[in-house]
Parts: sequence; structure tokens; C-alpha cells
Amino acid sequence: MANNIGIFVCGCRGLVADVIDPARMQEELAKLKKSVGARVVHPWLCGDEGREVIRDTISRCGLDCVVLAGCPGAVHEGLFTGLAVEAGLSAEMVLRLDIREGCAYPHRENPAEAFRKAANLIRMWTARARLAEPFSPVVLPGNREVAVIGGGLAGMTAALDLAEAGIRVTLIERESYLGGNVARLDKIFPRLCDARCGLTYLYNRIRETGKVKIMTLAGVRALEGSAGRYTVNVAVTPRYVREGLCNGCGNCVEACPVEVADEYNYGLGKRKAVYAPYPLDPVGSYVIDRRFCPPGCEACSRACPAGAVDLTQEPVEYSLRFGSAVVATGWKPYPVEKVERLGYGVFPDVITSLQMERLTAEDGPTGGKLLCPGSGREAGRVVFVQCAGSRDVGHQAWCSAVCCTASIKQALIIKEKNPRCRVYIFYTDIRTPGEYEELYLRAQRAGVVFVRANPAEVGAGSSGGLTITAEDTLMGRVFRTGADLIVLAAGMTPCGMEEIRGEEARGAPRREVSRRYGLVSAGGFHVGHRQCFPMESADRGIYFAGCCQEPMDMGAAAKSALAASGMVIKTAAPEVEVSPLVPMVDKSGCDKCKRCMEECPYGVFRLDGEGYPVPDRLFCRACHVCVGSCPRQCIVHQGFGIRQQIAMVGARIKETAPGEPLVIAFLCENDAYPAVLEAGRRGMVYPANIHVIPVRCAGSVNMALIKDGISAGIDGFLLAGCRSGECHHISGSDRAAGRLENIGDTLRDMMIDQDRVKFLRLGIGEAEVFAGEAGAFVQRLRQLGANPFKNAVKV
Amino acid sequence: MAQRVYIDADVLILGGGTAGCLAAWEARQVGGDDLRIVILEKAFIRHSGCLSAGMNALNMYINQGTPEDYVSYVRYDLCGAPIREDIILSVAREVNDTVKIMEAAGLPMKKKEDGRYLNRGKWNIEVNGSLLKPITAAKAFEAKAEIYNRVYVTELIVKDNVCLGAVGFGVRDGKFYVCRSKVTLLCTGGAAGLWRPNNRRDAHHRIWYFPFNCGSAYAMCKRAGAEMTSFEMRFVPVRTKDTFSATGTLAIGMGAPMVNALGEPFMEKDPYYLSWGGHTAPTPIRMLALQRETLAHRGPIYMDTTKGDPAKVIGLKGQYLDMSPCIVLYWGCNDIDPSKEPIEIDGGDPHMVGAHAGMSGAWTRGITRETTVDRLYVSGDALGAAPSRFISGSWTCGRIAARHAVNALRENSCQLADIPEDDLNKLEDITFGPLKRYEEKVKEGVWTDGTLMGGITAKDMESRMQKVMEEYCGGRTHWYYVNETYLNIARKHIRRMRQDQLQYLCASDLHDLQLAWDVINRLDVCQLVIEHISFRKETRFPGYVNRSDYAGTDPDFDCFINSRWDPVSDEVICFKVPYEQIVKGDRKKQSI
Amino acid sequence: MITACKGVCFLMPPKVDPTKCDGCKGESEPLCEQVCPGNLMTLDKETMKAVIREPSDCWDCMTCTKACPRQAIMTVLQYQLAYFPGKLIPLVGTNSVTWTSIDCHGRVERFVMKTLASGDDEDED
Repeated sequence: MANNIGIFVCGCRGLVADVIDPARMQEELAKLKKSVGARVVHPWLCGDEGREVIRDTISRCGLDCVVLAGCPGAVHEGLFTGLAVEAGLSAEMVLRLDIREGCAYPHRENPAEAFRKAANLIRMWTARARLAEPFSPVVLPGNREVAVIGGGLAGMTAALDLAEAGIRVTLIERESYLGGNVARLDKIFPRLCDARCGLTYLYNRIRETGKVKIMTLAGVRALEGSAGRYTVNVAVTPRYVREGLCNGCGNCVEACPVEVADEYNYGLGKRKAVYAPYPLDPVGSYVIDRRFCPPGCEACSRACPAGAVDLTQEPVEYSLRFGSAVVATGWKPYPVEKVERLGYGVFPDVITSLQMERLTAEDGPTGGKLLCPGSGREAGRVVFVQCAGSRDVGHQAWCSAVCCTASIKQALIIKEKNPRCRVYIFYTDIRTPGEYEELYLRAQRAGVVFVRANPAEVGAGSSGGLTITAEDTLMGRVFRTGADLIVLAAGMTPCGMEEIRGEEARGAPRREVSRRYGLVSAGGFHVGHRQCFPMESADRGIYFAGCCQEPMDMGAAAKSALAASGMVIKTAAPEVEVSPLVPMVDKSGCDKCKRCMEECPYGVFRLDGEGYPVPDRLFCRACHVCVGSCPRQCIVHQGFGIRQQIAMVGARIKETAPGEPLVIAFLCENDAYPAVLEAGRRGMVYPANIHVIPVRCAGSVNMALIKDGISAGIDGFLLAGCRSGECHHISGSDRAAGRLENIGDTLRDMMIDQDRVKFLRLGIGEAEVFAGEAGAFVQRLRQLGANPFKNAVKV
Repeated sequence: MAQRVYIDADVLILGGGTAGCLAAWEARQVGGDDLRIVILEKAFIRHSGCLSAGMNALNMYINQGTPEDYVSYVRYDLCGAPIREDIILSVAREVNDTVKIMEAAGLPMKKKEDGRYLNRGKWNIEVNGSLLKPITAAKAFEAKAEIYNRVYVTELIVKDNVCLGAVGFGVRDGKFYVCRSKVTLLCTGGAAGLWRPNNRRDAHHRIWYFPFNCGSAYAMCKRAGAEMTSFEMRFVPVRTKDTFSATGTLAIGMGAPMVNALGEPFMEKDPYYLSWGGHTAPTPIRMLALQRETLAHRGPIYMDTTKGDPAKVIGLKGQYLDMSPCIVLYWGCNDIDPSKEPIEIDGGDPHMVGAHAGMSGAWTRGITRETTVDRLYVSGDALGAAPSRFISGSWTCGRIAARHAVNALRENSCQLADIPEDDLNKLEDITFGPLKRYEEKVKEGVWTDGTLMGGITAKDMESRMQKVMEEYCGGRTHWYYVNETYLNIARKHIRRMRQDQLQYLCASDLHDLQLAWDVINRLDVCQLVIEHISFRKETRFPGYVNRSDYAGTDPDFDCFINSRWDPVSDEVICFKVPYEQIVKGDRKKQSI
Repeated sequence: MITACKGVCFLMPPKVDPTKCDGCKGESEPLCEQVCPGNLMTLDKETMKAVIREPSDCWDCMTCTKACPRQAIMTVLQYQLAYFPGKLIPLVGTNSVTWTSIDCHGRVERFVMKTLASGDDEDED
């Protein structure tokens, strides 16, 4: 609570003083009594002399808070706060009040009203100042429980980064080996180096840290909880081979009677139900895939000389707690058999690009030889079909970003292995962003033929090969050509969190929020709030990285993993200083309705032992949507909040001219408020009746302020937020609109016109829209007459 | 077996109401930071109890005169009745201080030009009390008391006449709460709903007092073997007809006198009423007058608001909105303008309210508020023989009780006792009895309307009890008249219900269990009331209790009637306790 | 809305407007259920709207009506006591409450009252 406030009004070298009479203002300031220790009206506060006046007044009068009325807050910010800090005040005790862009400029033709409005605003800011207090830092213990879900390139990168930051990590991988899709690639662009080389390097460094606990064959079942307190159920499938007893002799594989398509090789070639560990398997013992075991078969068990096979092992379910997590569940290829005309699944020599990777890989089923899986012959004529199921509204509408470059890379590898092989790439558009263009040129130079074509159908050729019919979209003609091998560039389908979040009560609404506000894209990618909070989900503390976030190449996946782990590191340090603006629930006022829990866009609320909702302040973004939601106004925080706003609304401001409606406008500081400043700057005129209070988000405005204002005789309320879907805090402006509509209904029940409350959606550039709407609103209020509670019985 | 919650407290406060919240606050003031203060509250502390609708005035405040003058006023207002003057004095000495504390807590006080509180007469001040309860509760939060909401306390744990804690059930969670304590303060309010209310069916709870107060404090004290006092001194409200809103607001706001159908201000005519002061006659006398006028066929009886200033009507409504908003709605719906027509008044169903103009409650030792059961303290409506404390007095009373309790805790270094598991199991069985019975009885069969073939509901039992009390213990329809013959019938039925019928009382869910306990407690209070009225063979409080067989006062009964319940015989044994006059002067006159 | 109760139709306080009530969207107990001194309000698990479990047991304290964050609850007097259609609507702010009384002829009276002392009244007007 400030007890000795200094009010400084700047004339801005005439820009303000020419409109707002300084002498009268000095008289007006004298009326403010409580806790006001200095009242200065000065022609030019940012000049040398003016700065000296401020500095001197603060120290001479021992001020503990300063209200500076003049230019908008962002102007000369360093100058004024610097002054205050020199004089021993903390920066947040300097309250800036704009009476230039927001008052003198737009109302210059009406100095009398401009004066009244400025005086009103100063009253409001003084009321606010009385409740101002310097920040005390909020330091919380960090949440050190961290998980990484998905052990592919992104997951491994994130795990390493976190471990190197000193954080213990649990890495959960569904397969028996790490590396995911990347582990099975042959060469990677742009350097055409070995994919596994990079992964192995990554894996070795992870081992060196000793801080990553790796769980393989671990499927994530259900995620529960809220920010800071998640629990996942992890079901670990046993290997049925005892680690430590198995020496890898391979007798079991020989004995195994079952052959199945080799999943590691994307179905190319066969393997047994029991198989040798793949590279990057952190356990390294053999694995029995019990899904394929014939009932009662114990051939492997009998064959094992070491007695390592143990078919009695049971899947184990673990309940894992974590505070934050990187989710990098990656992608799977689009099931191209759905594009029937391309013949995948019908003709064995039609393969996917991932299968092509295994075909050229030295450790692949053909030992790196380009043998057609169907005919077994070496391929002499290879056709790549791009966008197989991609950029196609019937299949996947999106571009998977890497397929063009990947196919070009494969074409180059083929040309390197066998320069005589004819390679064609049928493409829609070649997309090799950035300097990947160089690969495109290299492929052209190497003799790869690029055909801008729309493939119509794949069929059987006369001599056992394939034919492909296509439309050449450049030449505008249909052609048919033969091929030994057709490679379909299958796009990326995200492996999302969809299957992870259970159907339990708290999960469903959060999922709905994610969908409604596009945090999860139409295609199922976890895109987050792309520009503002790109790595995030509607569950605070869970960050997405890699191709489950959006289609990306390996470099981008590694970068996104670093970005996500960076988010985790912020809250996983031993001690974390968070924004002083993070809210708390004042339990003495709380009635436990849990609306805050429901409305928090980031899901950071949970119930404490006594059943009160509390935010996890470590993960709170301080958007203050909860402050706006609370029917008890008991969610409070340091800095400018509900208590000050209540005081401002109750500051007994007066009509700008007799009979003129009084309007209080709460404007979102991100979009609407800058638009209003812009309106002033550009000389637009709008009625002086409107008294603006900039707020953190339209969603932070509590309806009690409107109810207070109605009883205090305010005639109208404007509330302005971002356009739907553009709100930084996801649902903030929509919440505000909904609440205001509800208040409007109530006013109607009370026989008060609901036009007295208005919600505006303003883009940052819509200064003119604001000026127009403000004028129309005030005009409507004039028609409606005074707020009937002005003449109500005061008891 | 229900899930159990074990709580240990230094100071256990039962009932987070007017007295309880301030008791918690005071306990923290005198007991320091380490004291473990626990409040068990039946509803939600910020909105529970009889303050939940708000209140527009504090009826106890020393605007002029001295605490002794207040005692003199209270004595006079109950026709010179024997009262515990020591207790009332102790409250009167601190009440103004308490009001200051509550003003600082945010209670909006109405003030005069000179900055003093806006008063109504000598002992009353006006407030904007719409949030009276949340502001009161904030004191408990300020005290950092551990508050358990929605816990219904069913029994005190008493061993060898020492109170060791209390048990109850969670109204929402169904858990069994076991709270051990070093000292226990019982302040769960008075009792409504013993007699049949004036409005029936869907409006049966449109009564003056808070209908969810069932006298559990009285019942628990009684069952604990505490000495009880003054249960013959019930309170009968004279209030606006139908809505049972306050009449003081009308009397003072509109200068409205009581008149009969002929428009006669009878209080100013009859020499008997005049001898008591006419319009300002003691509360029971005004009740008596209303009853006599009606019985003389000069009803209906009104507050004549038509002579007042019509411009004041709107302010009047405003005052009601702070306390009894439904009367404003009632006038609006029924097109009633108090400046154009007089407002009809009526007598309601009697209530047992020790802190209002009734005297029922536990007998306490000196001014400590400690009952005759060691370590068990009472405050608010539960404290007997000390009427007219109202809200501000109950706040104060809570403070005083807490102070004595904490001091006693220190001086006697009270410790938590081990409570044998067997005892707890027994208490748990009792607590969940109606619920368990329901499970058994439902197997015996259910009628097509869903009711049990082998059991009765709390509502059934309440109806029966209210009928008995109404018809045989001086209800409104009998104009509060009783005689020994009637009382014998009441005694017979209430005993039958208590001894024989409770075995059929069933509760299908936790809300029902709450209702069942309400009726169990009410039956205990009924027993006390019948025995006390029967014992006082005179009419000392005409209007409240009229004994047709003993019409006048008898000097032999110029004393307190106290009682103790014998659990073996299930008899309430009444006896006389002498009255001690501390404040000198004529008991039937106000000193100022 | 008419609430049927044990075979008898009553018109009783308080009424919850299903178009306004959102069940407080919390996990279990809506605000009116939390605050009701008589333990009467509860959540209808099917409609997820608040409902009074025993309308005739209401004391008309209006705690729920004042507390409802969506102003979805209206206190209606029992018809045996009062004619249709009068209304009394509180709008509760932080330190004040307004009341709008609309009588059976549609006449409106309005009231403003303090509920909490704010102490910010030393400035001159």
C-alpha cells in the first residue's frame, strides 16, 4: 500500500498542455487527499529540468509511488523508471498514465471534456497507486521430474540436452531400440552421411551423462494430472529373454518356427518371432515378439543353452510422475495402400520411400543392393512418385516438407551405386527449401529425370515389370512408361498425444480446447500456439518436438527438441524465479467453485489437500484469465490486478460534460490498447467519455468490475480483446465475450438495456475501427440516457 | 466402516457461526501462533447459518449509558425475568470493542454526520450487513483456523464428565470425523422447527429463524450430561405476516404503531400495556397483546405504516434488502405499498434462541462459559439464561469463551486423551445409524412411491414431532397456551418417538442423514422444553408461554429452572437455581 | 419451470435458468452447492446444471442467487404467498450490491448498497 504518492502531470511541451489547462489541473490535483504527498504539473517532465523536478520531489517528499501522467507507458520507459530507481523507488512503483495519445490528441477539439477526462484518469490511477506495492520476488523450487516421451532423434536430442543441464530424465521408447525412423535411414541429406553415425554419437553422449533412464518396449497408456503433477502409465512389454543370461548365440532364432515380415525393415524381408537386437538397443539382448508365437511353442526356450528364455514374464505397468515433459512421438508414413491407383500392396515392386532407405542400406535386407523385392532383379529403371497421398484433400492435405529432398537424395544414391540406372522423379512441385536446392541441381546434373506429372495408374508390364500412366502437366499430355521399381513418397502422419490423454473427466475438456483453438492441427500435429508459444500444448509443461509437431527435416527436428528442452529447463532448475505476476488463490475468499480450474487456458490449476483450487505457479503464464473468471475475486497477484481495478472503477469519476455518459473501457494490452494509442497518434477523434484501462488480456477482466461500475453509476462498458483465435492466451478473448454476453442478459432481466455493455474484437491495426465503434457506442448510450442506478436509492 | 478422518485440536470449535468465528480469532490472539484451532462447520463457513441472508442492524451496542444500563434493559425487556446478569454484563463491557474490530474487518457501518454510528434507540446501530457472514468468517480465516466445512457434528466425546472432543460425519464425503481436543467450544446455534410453522407445504421453511438450526448444541449438551437452563423460555417472534421479516424496521423506519382491525393503537390504550411502557413494552408483552387482540376478534393486527412519510418507503425496502430481501419481493408481487396500507403482523412458531429474546441453553460456571461438563464451553445461542446478546453480543461471547477456554487449557495443561477404539466404533454406529438402517430396511421392501415398507424418513418424523408440539405444547394455533394435561400428552408422544420410533428412522443418502440427525436433536430439545414448561408452574413470560392452569406469576418460581438428563431413566430432572441480582434497581423498569 | 416433487407440483425458490447455468463447469460441486447453508443445491449429473434437491426446504436467504457467477438463479416466492410475476434481482459487485425490484405491474425500483467498507472516500468530489 502506497502511503505517499506523487502525482506528476506533464504538459509535453504544449502537446498536452495546450489542450489540458495546467493551472486548472493543479487545482484539481489538490482535491486528491488520501495518501498523496506531491502534486506537480510541469510543462516538460522529460527535459533536464523536469527530470530534476521528479528526482528531487521523490527524495524530498519521500514518495513511495509515482503517477506520471503524460505520454504512453512505452515512451521514455527507461528514462522515467531509471529516474525512480535512482531515487530509490522500484520500477513497478512508477505508474504511467497516458493523457497524450489517449486524451489530449483525440479530444483536442474539446478541451473542457479532455480536461475532465484527464482529471478522471488521474483519480483512477491515484486509486490504483494507493494499492501499489513493490514486487517481492517469487522464487519457487523447480520441478525436477522430467520425462521425454519418444526415443527418436528429437527425443534423444532433448534427453541429452536436459541431462547436460543437470536434470535427470526418463526417456520412454515404444520400440526395443532408439532412433525411431532416423535409425533406419540409409544416408541423410544434405551431407549424405550415415544416419546411424549421428545417432550413435548422440546415444554415447547420453550414456556419458548417466542421467537418462531409458525405458524401451515401453508404451504410454494414459496421461493424467495437471501442470507440474502429471502421471503417465507406462506399460513395459518384457523381452522374454533374461538380460545377462543371453550371450547372443542365436540358437533361438534358428529354432524359431515362425517367420514374419520384418518391421524394422518396414516389411521388407523376413525375421523370426525371436530376433537379435537391432542397433541402438540399450539392452542388447535378444527379444521375443510374443504376438507371433504359436500357442504352446517353446522351441526357443529349449534351444537356448543358457536358459535365458523366460516365457513366463509378464508385462509390467509403471505409474510415472513428472512435472514437465518433451513429447517427441514422431511420425509414421501415410498408409499409401489407400491410394489404390498407385498399386502399393498389389505389386511387390511398388515400395515406399522408407522401404527404399532399407533397400540401399548396407545393413538392409539386400545388403545395399538395389534388388526389386518382387522380381529379385536389380532395378534398372526406377520411378519416384512424389506426394503419394500428400497434398491431396482425399488423403493428407498437407505437404510433408522433406519428401522432395529425400527422393532426390535417394536418386543420387542410386546414381552413385549404378550410374546406368535410369531414375525418374514424377513430382507435383519440387520443394527443396533453402540450400537444399543444391541437391536438386546435383540430381539434374547426375541425369535424374524430373517430370512434372500427375500419376494416374500403376499396372503390370508385359515382361514382369511395371507400367505407370501419368499426365505430364507441363506438356499437357498423358504418357505411359515402364519401371522396374516404383518408389512412393509417403507423407508424414503424426503420432500424436491423442491416444495418450485418457478419456477421464479432466482430459476431455483440455482436448476440446486444443482442438477448438488449433493447438492440435486438423491433421493431428501438435502445432501449439504457433507464433506465441510454439512448443506448447493446452497442458502446460508438456512440450512437443519433432515431427509430431509438424512435418520437418532432421535438422529442424533437432532444433525443435532443443527448443522444447529449453522450455523444460526453465522450470526444472533447482530454484526458479517466476514472474511476480503469477496469481494465488486467497482461500479466505474462495468458495471452491473451481471455475478458475476450468477456464485456465494452460491447465495449471489443481486441487490442494483441502479441496481449494491452486495454480502451479511454476508453470503459470500469468495471463490472469483465472482472475477474470473468479466469481469471488479472490485470485490475486502482485502488481496491477483485480484489487486495483476495483479501486479504479470505484474512484468516483465524473461526467466529462453534463449529461454525457461515462464509459469505462477495458482494453487488451496486446492488440486493442495499441490500436487506441494509434488512433490518438493518427489524430482520429472519438468521444472523451471513454476512460481506458489497459489490461493483460480481455479474459482477465472480472465481471465484478462491471457490476461495481453499474452500482457506481458508470453508464457503459467497453471490453476489447483480440479477434477469436488470435488471443495470445488461447481462449481469453472468447471467455471475455461469453462473460459479457451473460452480463448483458442479466441487465436485460433487470430492465437495463444490454447495449450498455459491448465487446469489441480489435486487431492491432484497427485504430479506425475503434474510433468508429467508440463513437457509435457513446451515441447509443446518449439515446439510452443515464444508468438508472445513478438515481437509485442508496442504503 | 466409513473412512475416518482423525483431527487433533487444542481448541475445537463446533459451528463456524457468529460466535465460532470470533472465538477462533480471539483464541489466536490470546493463544499465540502454535495453538491448533479447528472449526467443524455443518455448511460452508462463509455463508452458513442465520446470518446467511444478511442483517441490517446490530441489536446490541451501548450507544449511551453503561453496561449496567444494558443489563437493566434486558431484564426489563423480559418482564423482569431472572437472567444471568454476570454474563450479560461481561458481554456488554466488550461489545463496543467487538464492533470496532468488525468495522475494521470491512463491515460497512452507517454513520451520522458527527461520525458516530447511526443508532436506532439506545442499544441498536444500523449496518449494511449483506455480507455479515463472509466478513465474520474472514476473522476465522485471519486466525488461520483449520476449517472443515460440511462436517455435521453428531456427538461429543465425553468421559467422566470431561469433554474430549467430538465426532461427526462429512455431509459430502461421508467420512467419519473424529476430532480430539483439549478444550471444546460448542456454538452451533439455536433451534427452529420444533413447532409447526405458519406457512405449510412448499413455504414451510419461510420462518423467522434459520430453519436448518436444529438445536444440536442443546441436544449434545443434554446428552453429554450438562446442566441445562431455561428451556421454558422460548421465543415467539412477532413479525410481518407470511414473510416473518423484522418489525423493528417498520416501527422505527415508518414510526408505525401496532394497531388492530379497528385502527386502534391498543398498546397505548390498555392500562396493563401502558404499565409496561405502551409501544415500547417488553417483547413478550407485545406478543401477548397481539394474541389478546386477535382472540378478542379485533384482528388482523397491523403495523400502521400509513401515517409515516411515503418517501421513506423506498429506504425501508432498502433496509430490508440487507436482511430479509424476500419481503421486498413479497410486497412487489402482492402490490403492497406500506405507505398506503398497514402491514399485517403475526406470531410465528416458537424458537429456542438463547442469544435472542429467549433464554434456553447450557448452564455455565461464572462468566467462563464452561458448562458443567469439564472443558466444554458454549457460546452464542447455546449459552443459557443470558438473553439479548444478538449478533454483536454473540461475537463478543465467542471471544470471551475462547479467552477463558485458552486460559484454562494453559493453566490446567489439558492434554489430548486416548479414546478407546470401542468407543469410537460405538459413536460411528450411532452416527451412521439411520444410513445403515436404510440399507437393512430397503431389503424388507419398498412401496411403489419409493418409500420404505419398514422405515420412516426424517421428514415423516419431523411432521409428527411438529404436530405433537403444535397441538400439545402451545403452538401458534393454540396461541401458545398449555396446561399440564396437554403437556402430558406431548410428553407421552415425544417419549414414544424417542424411545421407540427412532429405530425406524432411515436415511437414504448423506443429505437425509443430516435431516435425520436434525430430527434426533430436535426431539431431545422437545423433551427439555416439555419438562421445563411443565416444571415452571406459573406464567412468567406471558405471550411466550401461557399456562392456562397457572395464569399468574408465583414468587416461588422467581428463579432459574435448570435440569439434567438421566440417561438411564431417560428422565429430565428439573430443579430450581436462585437468581442473583447484580445490577440494582427495579427489575421491571429500565434504568435509562 | 415446474419442479415435480413427490407427486405434487410446486412453484418454489430458487429457480435455476438452464440457459444460463453452466454447472460451474468445475469438477463436482457448482458454486451454489458449495454455498447453500441448507445443503439444498446440487448438480444434476445428466444435464450438468444446478438443481435444488428439496425446493420446499429453502429459507429464501438468497445466498445462491447472489453467489451465482452467471446470474442463473432467480428467487421466486412460493405462490401460496405471492402473486406472479414479481422479480427481485441482486447484482453483486465486490463491495456493493444493486437490487432491482420489478413488481407485479412491471414497476421498477432500484437500490444500491454497500457490502464491504472500502475506505477510499477521503478525496473531494
